[in-house]
Amino acid sequence: METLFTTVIALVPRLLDGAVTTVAITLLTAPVAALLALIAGLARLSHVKAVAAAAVVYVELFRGTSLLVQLFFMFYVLPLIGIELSPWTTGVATLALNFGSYGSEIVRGALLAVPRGQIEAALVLHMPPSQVLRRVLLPQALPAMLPPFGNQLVELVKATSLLSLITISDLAFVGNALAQTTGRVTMVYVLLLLIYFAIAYTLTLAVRALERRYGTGATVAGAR
Amino acid sequence: MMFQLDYAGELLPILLEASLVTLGATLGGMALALVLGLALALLRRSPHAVLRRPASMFVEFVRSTPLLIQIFFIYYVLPLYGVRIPTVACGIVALGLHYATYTAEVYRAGIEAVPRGQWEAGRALSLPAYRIWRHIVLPQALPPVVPALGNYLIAMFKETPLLAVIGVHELLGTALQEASQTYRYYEPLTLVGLIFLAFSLIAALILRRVEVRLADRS
Amino acid sequence: MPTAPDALRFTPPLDALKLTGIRKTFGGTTILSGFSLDVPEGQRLALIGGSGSGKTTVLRLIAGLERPDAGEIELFGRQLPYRRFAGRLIPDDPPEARELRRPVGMVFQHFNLFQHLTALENVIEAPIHVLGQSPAEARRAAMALLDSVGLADLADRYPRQLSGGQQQRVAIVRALALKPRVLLFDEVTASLDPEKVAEVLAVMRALAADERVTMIIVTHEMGFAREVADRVVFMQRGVIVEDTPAAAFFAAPQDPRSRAFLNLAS
Ligand SMILES: Nc1ncnc2c1ncn2[C@@H]1O[C@H](COP(=O)(O)OP(=O)(O)OP(=O)(O)O)[C@@H](O)[C@H]1O
Ligand SMILES: [Mg+2]
Repeated sequence: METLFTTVIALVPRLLDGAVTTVAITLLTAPVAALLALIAGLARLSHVKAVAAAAVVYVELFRGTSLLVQLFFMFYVLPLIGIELSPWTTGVATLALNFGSYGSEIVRGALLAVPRGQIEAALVLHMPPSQVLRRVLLPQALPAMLPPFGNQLVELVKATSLLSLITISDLAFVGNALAQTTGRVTMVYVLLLLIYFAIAYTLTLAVRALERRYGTGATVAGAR
Repeated sequence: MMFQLDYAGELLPILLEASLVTLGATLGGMALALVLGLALALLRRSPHAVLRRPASMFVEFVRSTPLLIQIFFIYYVLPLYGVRIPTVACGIVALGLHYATYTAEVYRAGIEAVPRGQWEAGRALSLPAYRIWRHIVLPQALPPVVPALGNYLIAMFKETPLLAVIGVHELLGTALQEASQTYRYYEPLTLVGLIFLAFSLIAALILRRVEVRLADRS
Repeated sequence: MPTAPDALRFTPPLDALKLTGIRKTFGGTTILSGFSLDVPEGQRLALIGGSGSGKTTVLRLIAGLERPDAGEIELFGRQLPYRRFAGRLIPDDPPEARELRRPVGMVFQHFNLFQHLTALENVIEAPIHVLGQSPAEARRAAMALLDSVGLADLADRYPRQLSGGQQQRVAIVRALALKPRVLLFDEVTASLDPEKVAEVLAVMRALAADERVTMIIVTHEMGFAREVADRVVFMQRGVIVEDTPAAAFFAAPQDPRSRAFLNLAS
């Protein structure tokens, strides 16, 4: 038992270093992805055909191809055509673009779910479209977006592990390295899974707390 | 740097062949996910906490941890305990386990949508639990969730490139191998992207058809 | 013979609203065709007719929520540009059209209060963000209006915490806060419990008595129409069948169809 204990003690601090990176990537990517989701979700509903079409192309392109393929494409091909980005930039940008494309569907769905009467009430009060959007639609659509965005956040934590494949020393990267160098394969992978679970679970709890505060209560009740 | 069409032309047959591995892994993984997911969904509705709790914990845990690490776990750790299976099988098992936790949720939603009265009718006829499940509840619970299951099939398909990390020669692995020989990444990776896009769009079209069919039936 | 100075010369009241040759089709079905209606300023017009006769459509065209396929709508002598309906989420409108339509307010059958705002916030939203009033000023005016309909105590409640009748009174106040010159009411009591109808009608009655506002009231409450309206327009299948002073209409409707309708309604 002594040896088990000491190996854990030896491994954990190094894994936690990686975990900090994983959390950092997640927290850096999430707002960018959310912003992209909002922009693309709104663009798809635009009355300017070119804007809506551009959004469709973006969303279908990133939803239709695999995240890992996108990551390798950005990592290996972009430098060849003269775009030099650091692995971090490449990783965060690709994750954000990928999750933004999925998120845009959440945004679109939530906006379309706001009852039509709310928009009409705003129009007969002579609000310009931008105000209808900002002051009537978005405040009512946001609570409906929270639960699916929460799920996406957990998916994002998991997806950050792919960045270990483009040389970023996140939790997965550190774990794989430790498994090879220490030979403590079982121990390392079990610890890896536990730490990922802890991160994801913490975020889930945080999102649930948010939902409780800003939850759907205030809006959905009135389909009238 | 230019996209070289001749090179792309050479690659295409190789990659299309590799896409068979991708499709095979997807179908294998999905078969496993469908069966295991149903088992998990049923266990989670068991009246016995000894069955319910572990099933719930398994779903929560596997769903919240990266597929990539699960693949490594199955590939590197299991053999240490005498479980030796071919590389592709490792990949299929990882995909199947991971997605079973998603399909379990889908099944659960389907089962919960079956009206209570259906259960009560079954009990009133004093049918055994097995028969109620098999002949009354599941036939009503499953068809409506086919589109949701289809979505996870497509999602899983897009995660098969992860199997390249343990050396499965699916699309991405094959492309990277080719690229490492020629030092050209542009064509192989672009082609892989296009192939994924094509399959995804086709799958989405088929799925929409299925949804329409199901909607017509009900 | 002395002539009166210009200022004293009789001028007929300006038409608040003038619809000319309106056509409206929904997916191939023609709902209105060649529909025309003049409403002098200050008139209380009851627009009545059977279900599906096109009453709501007329109001929505005036409010700019639908776009006519042909014809013209004039507001105080100025022709309204058509609303562009290309937007998939929010219909887009040239700013000058919004400006021209500003004198028009509308109250809906289903209230459509903003669900994320309190009663007071619903009322002050447009005065602050459309008219540019200061929050303090808007709040003072809104509280006075809410007080006049007996809702000052409930100003901080959300719509879902109010009864249907209370919600509808807030909705009327919300429209009034923009000081409209033309008010459109679309069956504002139709989705209320019977015992709540009276409280909303009382508010409208007071409104009709006090204000100079032009009102077009779509209603199935014949007693109320008789009491408040100066003029009745009876529609059937998108066509005006009878258009008479209210007193004459309720005393003896001329058209057999309006007679039948009135018999059924009362
Ligand atoms: N958006 C729409 N799409 C298709 N048809 C519509 C639409 N709006 C109204 N109609 C049709 O137009 C006709 C007139 O509708 P409208 O709502 O104006 O009638 P109404 O007189 O207000 O009836 P009610 O007393 O039932 O409210 C109806 O046949 C209705 O089905
Ligand atoms: Mg109507």
